[in-house]
Amino acid sequence: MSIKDVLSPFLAWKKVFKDPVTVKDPFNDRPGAPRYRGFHKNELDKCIGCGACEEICQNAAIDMVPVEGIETKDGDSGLRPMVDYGRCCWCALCVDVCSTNSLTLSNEYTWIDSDPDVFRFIPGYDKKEWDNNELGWTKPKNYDLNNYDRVDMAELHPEERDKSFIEFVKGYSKEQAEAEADRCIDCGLCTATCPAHMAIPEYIKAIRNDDMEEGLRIMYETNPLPEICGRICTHRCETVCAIGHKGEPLSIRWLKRYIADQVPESKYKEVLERGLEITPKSKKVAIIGSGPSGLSAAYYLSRMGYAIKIFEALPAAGGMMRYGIPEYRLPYDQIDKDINYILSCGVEIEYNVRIGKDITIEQLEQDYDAVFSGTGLHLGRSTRIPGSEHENVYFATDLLREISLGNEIRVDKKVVVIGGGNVAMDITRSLARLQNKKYGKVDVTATSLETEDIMPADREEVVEAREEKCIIDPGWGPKEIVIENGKVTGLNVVKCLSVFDEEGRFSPKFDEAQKKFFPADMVVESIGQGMDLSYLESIKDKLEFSDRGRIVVNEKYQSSLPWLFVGGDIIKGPDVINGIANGHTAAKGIDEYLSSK
Amino acid sequence: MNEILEKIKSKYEITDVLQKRDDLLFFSIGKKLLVDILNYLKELEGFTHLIMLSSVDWLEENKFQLTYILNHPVNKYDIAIRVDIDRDNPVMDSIHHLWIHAQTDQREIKELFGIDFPGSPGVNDDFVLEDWDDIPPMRRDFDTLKYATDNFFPREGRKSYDTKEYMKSKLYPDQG
Amino acid sequence: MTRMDDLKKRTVTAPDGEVFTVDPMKEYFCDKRPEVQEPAHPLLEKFFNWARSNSLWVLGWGTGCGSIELPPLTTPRFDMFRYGVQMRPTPRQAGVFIISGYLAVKTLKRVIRAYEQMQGPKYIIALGSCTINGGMYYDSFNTINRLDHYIPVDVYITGCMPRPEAILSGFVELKKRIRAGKAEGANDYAERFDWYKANQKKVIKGWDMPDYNW
Repeated sequence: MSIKDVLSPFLAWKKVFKDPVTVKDPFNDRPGAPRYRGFHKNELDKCIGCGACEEICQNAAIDMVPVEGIETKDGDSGLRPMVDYGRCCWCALCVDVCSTNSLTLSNEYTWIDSDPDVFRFIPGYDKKEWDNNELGWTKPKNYDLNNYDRVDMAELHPEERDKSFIEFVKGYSKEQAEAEADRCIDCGLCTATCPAHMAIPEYIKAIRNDDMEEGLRIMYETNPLPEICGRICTHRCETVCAIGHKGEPLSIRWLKRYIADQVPESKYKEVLERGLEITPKSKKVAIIGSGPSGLSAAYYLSRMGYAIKIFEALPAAGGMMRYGIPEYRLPYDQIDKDINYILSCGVEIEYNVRIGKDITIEQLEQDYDAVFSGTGLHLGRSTRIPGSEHENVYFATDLLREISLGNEIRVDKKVVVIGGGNVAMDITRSLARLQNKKYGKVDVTATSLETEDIMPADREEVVEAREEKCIIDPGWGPKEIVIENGKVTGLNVVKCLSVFDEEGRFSPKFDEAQKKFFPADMVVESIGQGMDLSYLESIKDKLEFSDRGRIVVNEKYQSSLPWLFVGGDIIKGPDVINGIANGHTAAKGIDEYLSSK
Repeated sequence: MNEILEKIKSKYEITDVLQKRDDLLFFSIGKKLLVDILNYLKELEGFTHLIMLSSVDWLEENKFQLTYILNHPVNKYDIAIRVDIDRDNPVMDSIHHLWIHAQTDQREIKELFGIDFPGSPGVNDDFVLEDWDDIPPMRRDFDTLKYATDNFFPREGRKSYDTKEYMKSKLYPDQG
Repeated sequence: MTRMDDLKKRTVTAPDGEVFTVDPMKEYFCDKRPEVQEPAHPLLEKFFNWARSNSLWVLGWGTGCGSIELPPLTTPRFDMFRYGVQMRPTPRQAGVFIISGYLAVKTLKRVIRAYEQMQGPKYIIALGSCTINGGMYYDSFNTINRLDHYIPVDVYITGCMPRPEAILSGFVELKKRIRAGKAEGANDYAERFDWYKANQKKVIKGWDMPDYNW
């Protein structure tokens, strides 16, 4: 033993006055790191209950459960995630995939208990100490587990498209459709919001599996007009799509069009009637109007076995779809594809026959066991400002009908359109195309009461109208149409400050001091549509009407006369998909009524 | 690696040659020639190290596929040899006389897949599972979730609601 | 699949020629059941509980992946020794058994043997999600999902795995329970012995131990 070995233990004394490395209070001095993956937090209001967290959890730790105080409504399933800490391993995939970024992790890591059943809780609803922690794991910004940008749709260039009525949306290719269908997370919020409750995630899955026939079958269970809806539906589903919270919603409408486009008309019968057995019933049903509600009721009633006859006042079927929507949005051959299939199911149709004039409603009551009426809103509504009785002041609905019938309409060099809805945009862009054909240049101005941010027209319509060189000048209220020497010279407007009052009623307020004059040779009014119920004149007193003049129906669309069912725009809407849903429900109601007679 | 591949091709019939990296070569060979080629590679070509022996269950094609991976310590490259065995009667020759540690791999594969290596010392001993009475658990027709739920019952009280069904029951129960 | 032959009943020839049969399972072990240990006089029990809570000796066996979080506790940084906790090598010397994570069926058999050899009063701390409801390995053919069906658990600590600070909080919680007289895992095991044994035997198929290994 050397002297060094004896002295070396005493060298430890040099550490006497140093601070020890021991953590003095390990419970409070050691909070989790700022990006620590600790226990769950959830913002119950932001969460939409889509269930993406439940799907992605690899340990099956999350259940979706109903929670008190949260209601199921459009865009929110009412369920909230319940996390089981007997399964969770804090991988944070649920936070990364959350559609609204409402689920986050705090930086708390201590939870000790003797009772193993307490370790299941609903974050955000069951109050915990870590709910107010600000630090913790949130989804980092530089990656995404899903693709939140839409696959772009090819469209015709504005320079080409405003010269003709060719359809300007080109449609998806196979790779584009499959890439777009891949984004769906199968939550089902869209199905609940769609008025017809189409099984949307199921047909999107059919696109992923490249099974077009199955997709077509799924669509026809709730909607017999897929080519039409695939182009012009108001796509309520897209507004509530879960992907839309963090990016662009799935283009459900164009995927629907993709499926219907892939199956040729000649194969429809084979695909949709495979294994179908219809027991014919002896009852007959008459349908007034071949719009979406009438066609839908006809299709579903004929599938149930009834003999159907449709009475249509105009020369071709389709109602507002053909005579209200211009060809560049919905080409006529696609309308024919859908309607021809419905007619091929054994539905009879008679054109150019107007109920009330050619056949009375009592005649229908005698000859048929039940009647469904879906005559729609084909009358225009007038602003009734001075000057609006002039012959050069038209209704948008009349002009659109004439264009669709193939007749020439009067197109002047300068046109002003009053209105801010989709119909106003339709007539504006149609007139732009006709002006291009006749004069080679566009001069159409559209003006509306609503300012641009609250215009009822779709945003894309306004943008596309401007691309086609139409002028959209919103926020003005029409005052009078100026007539000089028997000719229309323009429209006087004043600034509109607000359209609705505090209770949401229509009560526009104007500022008379700010005026403007739109010079024009022709004025088109497009401020709303009305219904023509003159064919029900003889039985009007037997029917019940609401305060606003609409027929009162029960939930199966049966009026107070048990044999008369009413649906479509005159009851609810105005919308194609609502008409289709009404027709389907009314068909079921007619079936119930006739089976019980 | 090309010279060694040429030499092997000149002596044996091999199929599915796949050069996955510069120093990693895969190929398949018939079952009867396996011990022969392993002996040749070990003694005469210098592949003295057996890295691993693993097995894959091809349920749809009704076969098991064993992969033997050898390493050449001097030239520093690897060869992986694949052999297909019939799934209904899985028996394979043992290689414990070439590398004694292969007996552990063979014991594990016998327990988890059911492939027998007659003659391998201790091949029937328990490895990971004790007193296992079901089919070998790594086979793809063994449902592990069902087995776990039946035998190691999870905690009760958990119920999940499907979003589509729930929204339908709340918002539109009458419509189809 | 091979059993240890020296646990089977057999005839043995002694070196001096005598032949006799031996049945190890019955003769080497005692046919005893665990007994409930009643608490002593309240004041004395309070003192005993204080003493027990301040000297928790843990069996030094990491049964699962969570045992990686135990060595940091022995280092000077977290220093569990100041809480009275130290690691002991054998079950006879330990009072606390930490089940750190999942338990394979093979390990469960050894854990039961070790737990039953510990002398009462003894406590169990369960770490991690795997002990509560199966955790990450809930669908495995080889791991158990619910620990409290096989051995009685006093304290659960959530985490995957819990941090050393969380484990220290768990020890503090265990001390509180001991002092309050509520940490009765061992007595619970004795009272519901048949139920625990039935659950264990359902999972562990080749039972070659006595029913109670003390």
